[in-house]
Amino acid sequence: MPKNSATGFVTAFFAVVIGFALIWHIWWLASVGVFGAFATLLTFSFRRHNEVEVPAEEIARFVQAHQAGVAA
Amino acid sequence: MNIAVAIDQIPQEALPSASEAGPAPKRIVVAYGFWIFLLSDIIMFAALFASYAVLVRSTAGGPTGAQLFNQTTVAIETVCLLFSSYTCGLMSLAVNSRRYFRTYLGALITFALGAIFLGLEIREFLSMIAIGAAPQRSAFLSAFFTLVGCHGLHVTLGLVWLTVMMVQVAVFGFAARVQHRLLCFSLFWHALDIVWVGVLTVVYLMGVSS
Repeated sequence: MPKNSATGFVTAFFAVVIGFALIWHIWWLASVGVFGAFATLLTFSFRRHNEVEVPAEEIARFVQAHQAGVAA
Repeated sequence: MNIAVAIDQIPQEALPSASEAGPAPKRIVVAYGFWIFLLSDIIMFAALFASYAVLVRSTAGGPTGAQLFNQTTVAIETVCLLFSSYTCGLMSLAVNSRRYFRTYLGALITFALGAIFLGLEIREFLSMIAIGAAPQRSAFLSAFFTLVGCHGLHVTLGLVWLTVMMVQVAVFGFAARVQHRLLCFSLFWHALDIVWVGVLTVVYLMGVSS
């Protein structure tokens, strides 16, 4: 499974900065936003470990708990 | 015996059902997701084409396409972009056979052709703005700069993406996820080429002939 990541949140923050800066014609702030979002994405794309393995025992535990819940 | 009959005669047990075969390979899932993005991009371009077609005659007394467009520049741009799609295909082949040198070479030529295209387009835009044919001059020019500029922006981002991917090939080698990303890049690049064929036809050829 894909590992959890804060990339979406951080990119959204920079997107808000870009939007605000473009509306008010603050060009330096808009470029800060663009570079920030780009750097965040770049960091994300260079992660070496981007997957987590969910062990079969854990899945079995979930399924059994679910089935016990359904039966009860 | 034709093929359809031959497939019918395979015992059904031989083909596992989709759920038994497990999830689709990651390569398929990634490409499928990227196709959905590309289709949304195409829909955006379709809207821009439609607004251009509506506004093309609204020149407000300003210059028309026939007066502004330089066919030689556009011809060179088109050749560059179409040929860069070919070299992008060569790069994909090199990636599939894990050849570093050919991958870098294909990427370099693709990048150079894309950069020439972009340089010519920027020069065209600047020369138009210099003679007063800026986006605010008329509805036709607003639509023109939006449509062609949006395509140019895509090409710019594609060049940035290609550069990042070559760094990733150097750092990670042909790891599975690098291959997936290169696959997406080549889909993106070919899609841009198709959009450019539309731009060439609708904006430049039809603009000069009418």
